[in-house]
Amino acid sequence: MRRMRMTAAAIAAAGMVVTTAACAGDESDVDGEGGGDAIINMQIGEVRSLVPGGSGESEGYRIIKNVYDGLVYYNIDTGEPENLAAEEITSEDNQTWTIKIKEGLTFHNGEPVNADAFIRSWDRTAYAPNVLPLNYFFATFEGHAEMNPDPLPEDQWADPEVPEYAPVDVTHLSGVTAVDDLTIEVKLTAPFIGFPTMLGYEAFYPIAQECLDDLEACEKKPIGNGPFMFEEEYDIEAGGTAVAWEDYAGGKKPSIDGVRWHVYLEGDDCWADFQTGDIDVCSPAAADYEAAMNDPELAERLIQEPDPSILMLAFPLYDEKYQSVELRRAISMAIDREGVANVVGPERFQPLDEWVPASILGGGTNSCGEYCTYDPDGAKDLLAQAGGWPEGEKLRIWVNDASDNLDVFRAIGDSISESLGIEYELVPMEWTEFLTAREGHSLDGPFRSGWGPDYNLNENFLEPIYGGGSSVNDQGWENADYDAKIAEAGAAATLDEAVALYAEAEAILAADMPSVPVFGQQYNYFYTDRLDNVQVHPIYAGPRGDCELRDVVITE
Amino acid sequence: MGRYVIRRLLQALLTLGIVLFLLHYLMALSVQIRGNPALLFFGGDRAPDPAMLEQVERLYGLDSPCYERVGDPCLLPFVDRLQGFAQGDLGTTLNGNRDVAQLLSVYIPNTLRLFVFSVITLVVVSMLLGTWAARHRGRFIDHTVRGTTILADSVPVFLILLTYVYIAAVPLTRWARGIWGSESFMGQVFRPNYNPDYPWTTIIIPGIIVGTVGLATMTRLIRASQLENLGSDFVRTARAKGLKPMRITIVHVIRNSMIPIITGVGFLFAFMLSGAVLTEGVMGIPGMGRMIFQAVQRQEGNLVIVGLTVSAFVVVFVSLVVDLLYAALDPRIRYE
Repeated sequence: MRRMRMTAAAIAAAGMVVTTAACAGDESDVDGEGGGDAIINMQIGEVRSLVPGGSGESEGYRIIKNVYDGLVYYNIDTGEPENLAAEEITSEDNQTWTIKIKEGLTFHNGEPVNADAFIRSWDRTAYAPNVLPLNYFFATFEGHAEMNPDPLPEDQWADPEVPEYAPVDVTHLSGVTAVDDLTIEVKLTAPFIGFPTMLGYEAFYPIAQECLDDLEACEKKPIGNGPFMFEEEYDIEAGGTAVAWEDYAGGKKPSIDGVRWHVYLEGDDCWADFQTGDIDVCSPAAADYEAAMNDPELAERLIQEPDPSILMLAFPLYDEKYQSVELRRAISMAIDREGVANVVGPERFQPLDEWVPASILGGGTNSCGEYCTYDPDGAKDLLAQAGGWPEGEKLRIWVNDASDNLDVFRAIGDSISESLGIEYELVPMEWTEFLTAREGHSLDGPFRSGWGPDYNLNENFLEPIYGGGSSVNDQGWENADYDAKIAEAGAAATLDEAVALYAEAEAILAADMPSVPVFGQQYNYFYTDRLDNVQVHPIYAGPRGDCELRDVVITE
Repeated sequence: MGRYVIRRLLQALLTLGIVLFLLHYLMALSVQIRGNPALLFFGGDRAPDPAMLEQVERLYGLDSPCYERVGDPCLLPFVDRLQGFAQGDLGTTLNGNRDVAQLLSVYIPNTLRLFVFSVITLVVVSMLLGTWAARHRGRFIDHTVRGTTILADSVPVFLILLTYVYIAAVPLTRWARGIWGSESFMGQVFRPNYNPDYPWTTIIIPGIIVGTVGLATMTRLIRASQLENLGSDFVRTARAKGLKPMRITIVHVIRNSMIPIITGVGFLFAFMLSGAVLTEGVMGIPGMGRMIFQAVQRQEGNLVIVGLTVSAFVVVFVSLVVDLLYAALDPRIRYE
């Protein structure tokens, strides 16, 4: 090893002499990086889109939320929505919502931010032929069904296996109307108290007309209404720089002069560049974590916060074997969550005993309680009540083979196996194969299920995962009481009431246990000593290092 | 000569056609067996609405019923694809709906830059070492050169890479920046990751590391070929004429030893592509190797096919050039 390092260094030194001349010229292609301006250097992954409605992943959203101002912005401490571009969001019945927009706001190009700016953006996202990933956010809007029609009757298909669709000629969400220039009225198909909470998400940001006229140009150089603007094009492989917009009139003005996004494509790691000072905020990979934590100087610049992403072991309720709730509880009680976390990284995972994590509005109910507490004897008793485990059969745990999923689930399987005295088998699958099997209900044992929130409301951890009926959700679970409770919560008079009702729905879910909460996750971000007031958003943060650009201060 | 070139070109076209079809067939099999990649469009955790899924499938040409029948070669989509290629339409990616041709215009230059440095490293280092070893045949220097190059070659590239990135790069960069400042050439060259702001500087070290792939093979090839020439009649004649040893080495030995070297570089080109996959992955260079690797992982069928076709094209093209160079280097070789 040592030998090779020296060889590599020697070859490197030799090669440099040869190539110095060829490369001396490219120092001119620096644009202000690390210079006198207060520009922060952030890592970022591959961005899917920079136009609202098109991204739907963490990295695109990290740029969009700084280049655009949404109707609401989430409070850094509580995660609750506070009006940003909106003056007022009101409703009498939670079904028809009136949104008033602040006066005098404009896009970077001078276009006004008015009702039309929002409506044209929402229409674009909700229109099925545009095939945008955030289309589903508008599923609760009146008129969404007309823009996303069902297939034609089967006898009209040219090929009996390929569904066909009539062309969609509805291009406007009928439930959305501009009452006046700055007021939007939204009609939902059912009452939903959490509606204002959704509005801070990228799907609901406005789009300038100029952007819509030339989407291709707008993808590269977004025309936002937020505090940062691009003067040059953003490049998916090379990143880009957004500078503070001088005319920003909104409510969340940053103190820094700009941000340079450096791209780390899948599989790359910012840690080495963080150590050389080229990146300002970075989360070390598991392998570097020990060393980072043991460095006293670095440990002062560590932010550790619960990440609202959770990891679960879900059951295939469509399989006969898993009908008994005692069996499902037995498996849950057999998992030594603390022990497993110690094996796979105590700093990354926290034992979880609820379906909605504490960092989410309405979460932290400990709804799983004793059944998520390690108790091998209790687990054996429950297993006996359930009629025992079939002789000679293995418990098959299905996992998609990515990052260290296998290690994590092997530790979980070992724990179950040890507590219950049954053999298990880990079945790794490639991601798409896993998704297809999971959605097609063809798994014959517990499977991995993970979730990260779209917005800050306990409903988001319940309905999207367990709703839709037994034929739709991955677990094949359905409970009429639960569905009624969800509907009741949506129609609640206040958000507090709704949150409480959703929590009751979580309790119904807990009693049936279609899945077992295993771990909540944790952010571990380090930052360089030139930064101050580094805040990490409790709900939306990039997995490999992030901070609130509107709050951060550069000290040097 | 002209007929020879035409024949070779036709052969190359046939090879590419076969490669394309095989790739298409494998991709179709992958969709049939592994499941529909259109699901990836929705991120995975969420069960998409069937109507939306249908739209996405149509958008990416995955809606043909042949993708449901395992083993079906999907000839119709293959013809569609070829037609698209012929019209210059290389299709788009599933994730982000990006134009593949545009992606190639980003990735290919990066890999080419990497190859420039690795070919320079490989040729220069192996020429120097090979010539040196040949001139001191059987003596200590010869054994040392052979031992060292074999050692360098037997350590896998990824080990050299990881050692460099995780152990050497950070202290080297800090040290260099302490002396020359962070904006200088020296402050950038040792960086552990590629940086698009310094597209040439930060690709030097990865290029050199890729260049160590096949160093032993090349060095020994050069040594053997030079030894053969050193013992030949024309070198003896040259010596008898009283030419200086340096002139004999350069004009009579090295030039005549070029044929196996050119062949070797041609072969190693294909090897370096695999080295590029690792290097580009570890050092974060957006290049072809990494693109193909990621595309395979993400089931970006179209990207896999286009990427591998480009690399197949390069290999076919390089071997054609190598064959033609023979004639230029050695007047005794003529193609009829």
